[in-house]
Amino acid sequence: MPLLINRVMYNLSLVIDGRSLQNAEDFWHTLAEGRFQNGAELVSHGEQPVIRLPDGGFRTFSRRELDVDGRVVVQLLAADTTDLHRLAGRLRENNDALRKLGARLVSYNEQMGELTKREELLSAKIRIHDDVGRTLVRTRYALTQGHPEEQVGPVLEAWQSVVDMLRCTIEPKPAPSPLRYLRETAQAVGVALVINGDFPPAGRTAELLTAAGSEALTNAVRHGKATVLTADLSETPCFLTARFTNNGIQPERAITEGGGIGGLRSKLERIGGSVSTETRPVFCLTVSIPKQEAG
Amino acid sequence: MNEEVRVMLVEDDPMAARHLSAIVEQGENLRLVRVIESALSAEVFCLKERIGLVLMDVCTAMNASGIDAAVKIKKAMPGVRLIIMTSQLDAELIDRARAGGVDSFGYKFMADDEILELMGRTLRGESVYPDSLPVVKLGSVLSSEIDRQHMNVLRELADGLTDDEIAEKLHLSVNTIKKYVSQLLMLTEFRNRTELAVNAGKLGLVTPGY
Repeated sequence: MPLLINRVMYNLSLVIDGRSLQNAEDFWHTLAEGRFQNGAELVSHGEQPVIRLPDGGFRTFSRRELDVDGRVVVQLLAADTTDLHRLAGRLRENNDALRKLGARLVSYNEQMGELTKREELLSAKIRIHDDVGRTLVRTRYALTQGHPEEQVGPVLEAWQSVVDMLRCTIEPKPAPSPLRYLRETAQAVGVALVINGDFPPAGRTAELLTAAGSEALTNAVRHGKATVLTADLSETPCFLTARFTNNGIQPERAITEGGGIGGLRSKLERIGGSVSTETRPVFCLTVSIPKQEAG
Repeated sequence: MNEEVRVMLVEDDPMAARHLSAIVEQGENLRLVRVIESALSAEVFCLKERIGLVLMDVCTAMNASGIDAAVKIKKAMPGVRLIIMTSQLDAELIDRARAGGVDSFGYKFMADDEILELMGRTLRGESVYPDSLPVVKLGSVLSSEIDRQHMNVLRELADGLTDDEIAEKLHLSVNTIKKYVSQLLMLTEFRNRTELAVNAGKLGLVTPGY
C-alpha cells in the first residue's frame, strides 16, 4: 500500500491503469511500458514519461527515491502539462509551415532573376516609347526645314537605333546554354574546350560546372598561357565530378588559393560540394557538385 | 582622358545591354569591345582584351553575381576601372561593392548623361557612389523608414531562411528575429511573411543569392 497518495494521483491511476494505485513501483513500470486501459497513451518515453489521457489532457510523471528513516521510499509526481503540450504542438505546426514557406521562397528566389529582367524590360519599353516620340519630332523637323538631305543621316541612325531596340523586345534572345557559353568564352580567348563525359544541358548543376570551368579557364589563361582546357566529367549516384586540366605552363610549386577558387569553394561547400586542387603532375582543379542541386 | 578606353559591358538583358551600349558609344574616347551575359567570364576577358572600364550588372546570366566578379577583378587587376550598374535597391550591394574596392556604383534607370558622367568621373580616378538609396514603397512603409537591422532580417527572410536560421546567421536571438518580422509585417501591413518577402524581392530591396 502507498504510504501517502492524494486524490489526483488516485484518479490518474484509475484513468490510466483502470484500477486504484496499490504500489508506486508497479504503477511506474506500467507508465514506462505504456500498457494502459481506457485509451490513455504514452507519448514520450524516458525518465519523465508523458501520458495523453483519454480526455486529451497530458500528464508528465517523475520518480524520486526518498530516504525515510533509513528506508527507501518511491515518490511519484504527476504534473499537468496539457497547455505546454498543446503549445508545443502548435509550435511544431508553425515550424512546419515556416519550413514550407522557406522552401517556397527559395523557389521564388530562383525566379527572381527573371522577374528583375521583366522589370528592366518594362523600363526599356517606356524608354523606347520616348525614343520613338523624339525621333518622330526630329523627322518632322528635318522634313519641314527645307534641307532634309543634310539631316537624313542622323535621323536614319536614330530610326535604326529605335528599330534595333524594338527587335530586342520582340525577339528576346533565349538564355545561353551553359556549355555553349563556356565553349564560346574559351574560343574567344583562344582556348579550345574539350569535354569528356556528359555536361548537363541546363539547371543549377550546369551553372555551377560553368562557374568552375570559367575559373579553370581564367587560371589557364592567366598563369599557363594554355590553348586547350580539358574537363573530365564523371558521376556517382550522389555527385557529379569535374576535373579540369590544361596544356599550359604548369606551376612550379603548390598554388596559393586566391579569391576565385576560394569563392567557388565557399559556393560549393555551402551546398555540400567540394573543391580541390593538385599541382603534380599537372595543375588540376576538381569540383564535386551534389546531384540534388541538379536543376 | 585622351587615350581610348576599351569598355566591357556585363549585362544579360538584351534591352538594357542595347541601351547601355548606346550610352557608351556616345562617350568620348570610349570603345565598347565586348558585351557578355554572365559575370562568370568577365575576368578572363579583362585579362585577354586589355579592358579599361567594366560596366557590371549584379544579377547576371547563370546566377553569377556581378559584385563577386567585380571584387575579384579589382583584386587581380586593380588598374581596371569598374562600375556596378544595377536596378536593385539593396543597400547591402553598395556596402559589398565598396568594401571590395569596386570603383563606382550606379543605377540603370539614371539618365543617359548621368551615366556618361559616372563613367567619366570613374575613369578620372574618382570613386562615385550614390549619396542615398532611391526610396520605394514596401506595402505601407517607405523603404527609407526601414532600418538596417530590419532590412538584414528581411533579406534572409526573402532567401527562404527560417527564424532559427536567420538568428544563427545574424547572431541574434530567435525571439528578436520574430519581433523584427512582426514589426515589419505591422509596418508594411502585408498579411504574411510570403507577401512581405516576395514584395521586397520584386522591388529589388533585397537581392538574395547575388
